[in-house]
Amino acid sequence: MRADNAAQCASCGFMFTAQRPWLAEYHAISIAPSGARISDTPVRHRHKKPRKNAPNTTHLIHTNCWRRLVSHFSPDQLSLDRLYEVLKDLPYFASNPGEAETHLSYIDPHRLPDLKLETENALPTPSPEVQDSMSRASADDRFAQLPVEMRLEIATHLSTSDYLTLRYCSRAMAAVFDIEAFWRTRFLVHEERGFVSYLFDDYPAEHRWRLLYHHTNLNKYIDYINHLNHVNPVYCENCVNNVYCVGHTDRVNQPSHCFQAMRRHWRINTNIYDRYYMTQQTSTVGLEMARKKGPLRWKKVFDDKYICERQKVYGNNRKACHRCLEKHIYFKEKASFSSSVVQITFFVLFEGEDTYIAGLKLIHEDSTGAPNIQLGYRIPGKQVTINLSPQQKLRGFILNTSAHGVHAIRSVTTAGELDWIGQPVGIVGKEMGIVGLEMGKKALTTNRPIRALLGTFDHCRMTGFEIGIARNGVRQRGGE
Amino acid sequence: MSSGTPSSTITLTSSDGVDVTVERQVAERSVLIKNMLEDLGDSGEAIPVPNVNEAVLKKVIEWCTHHKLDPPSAGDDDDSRRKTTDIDEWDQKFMQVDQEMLFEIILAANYLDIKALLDVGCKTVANMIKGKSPEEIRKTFNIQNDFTPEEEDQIRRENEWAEDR
Repeated sequence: MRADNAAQCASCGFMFTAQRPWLAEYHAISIAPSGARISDTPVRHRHKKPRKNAPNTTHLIHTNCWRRLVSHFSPDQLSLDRLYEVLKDLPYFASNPGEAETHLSYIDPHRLPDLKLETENALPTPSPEVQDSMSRASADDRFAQLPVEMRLEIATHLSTSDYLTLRYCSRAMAAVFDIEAFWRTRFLVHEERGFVSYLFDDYPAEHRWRLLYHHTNLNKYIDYINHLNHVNPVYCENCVNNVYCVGHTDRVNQPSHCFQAMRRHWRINTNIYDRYYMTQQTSTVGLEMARKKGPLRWKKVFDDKYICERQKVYGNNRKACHRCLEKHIYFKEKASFSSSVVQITFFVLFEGEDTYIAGLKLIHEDSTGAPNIQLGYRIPGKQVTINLSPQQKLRGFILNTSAHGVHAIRSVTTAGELDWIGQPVGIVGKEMGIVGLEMGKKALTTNRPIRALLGTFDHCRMTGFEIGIARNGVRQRGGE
Repeated sequence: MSSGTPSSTITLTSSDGVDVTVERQVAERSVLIKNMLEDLGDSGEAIPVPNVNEAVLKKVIEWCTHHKLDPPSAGDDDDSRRKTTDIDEWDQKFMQVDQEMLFEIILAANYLDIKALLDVGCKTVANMIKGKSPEEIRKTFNIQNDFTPEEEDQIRRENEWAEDR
């Protein structure tokens, strides 16, 4: 089997090398006329001269990474055909310019960090008065009518950030903060601390999960790590990383390269997982409903461009994409819009530090009998819903875009602008000085009723968005 | 019907005293009722549901009727399963009710021990919270802000501790 010309692991992005045992063995996922298959026994790395521009038919993945990827999908059975297609479209994360992690190397899987939870930074304790007043429920707090198990159940479906926001609104929900079972769920493989989930599989439920959550925060440290790396590198002998390492140096609250590397790998697996389960709606009802609206005037935010992110040559059609020599998926979907739409659900794809809007769904009022219409892709569990009402009518959107697609979207209503969905500030853009990747906020608003929505999509993301208004409009407000 | 065969319908009596006839298979989506039927046998007497009023009971029965053929959910108690807020299309429409009804359905599902309905209810509430600011959450659930500055300060310090150090 041929090791291809960009021999990086499809899951972790690191190279194959015989110098480290855990980086030497890999499996090959290849495509054949009968479908995709994976090599049964691990292949040992050795150097081969790559063939230039030959169509690639193989994805390579470290044996250790394959195990991690399979556990990410557990207990579902992985379809190799689907996985092969997903891996084909995966951008090369390791070269992501915004990641302050390009200096990271793969951690020895046999010497993973071991966290010690003793800390001098204890949780701020409330005064007796505050403790007493917080235990009293507000008169109009709906959550107070629920038993604590149900409050916990609701909280477990929220991101920690959303839950912490909710604490400012409900005393009943604020109390969940003290339940270790809530913090335990943060460490499930698909949750935000999933990057260390396999370190804690055997930990008991009554473990100090909240303290562990506190210790495993990384966001604040990225700049600090970069600073240390340039000014005063300190080497950790155990995990081949330079600079401080939590697990191996006993510096409990110091930044950890191990955790950064683990998180980076986990994020790629999560992206593979989300792309794997991404689905399109095949119904043409939305299109038919949109046609009935008659001729519309369309406003759009940016021209459709496409920059191929594939890292390998997959086809041989030189008239198609100049990079991968294959034709890309690229389509438009349209749906009518009216006051009977009571909710819009947006689906968000997380990719490295970036987010992309993958699709949206229009939810009609039940009594109208109108079917819900999906534009683009649906990603299970990665949706954010906004509510519309006669007091909060849709007036358009503000989009955060780059040539790779729509990164974030903000709905504009008669009651004001709602919160951003997705990350409005990405890591690619002007600050990186990359031509063609300038990211910007663009308004798509109108003071007239919106009659239809139109989205343009590539293989996984929304790349263009338009709103349709009646043609007989006199003068439209809002910028392009 | 022979005396050995359980009847195909049963009667439930809501908290406000209304009798509701329902298919036995539908009612057995509730673990509580299923266990009661097994314990009591087929006496034909109405089963009281003292914590659920007629309107909510009918709504719960509507859900159970739609899901009566669903396979029993395996591994529901496994806390390592993936927590998603993804809701089936029909369930999403079903849950488009006013908030009082939504919370009543959650309480009824808990009382009647219908795990899947409880799950959908909690996910629906979670989806109403996701991505919102405190002001938007208060507006959504009609909660007055009665936190004292000291309480807000304590929450802020605890939140910062959890998120950072």
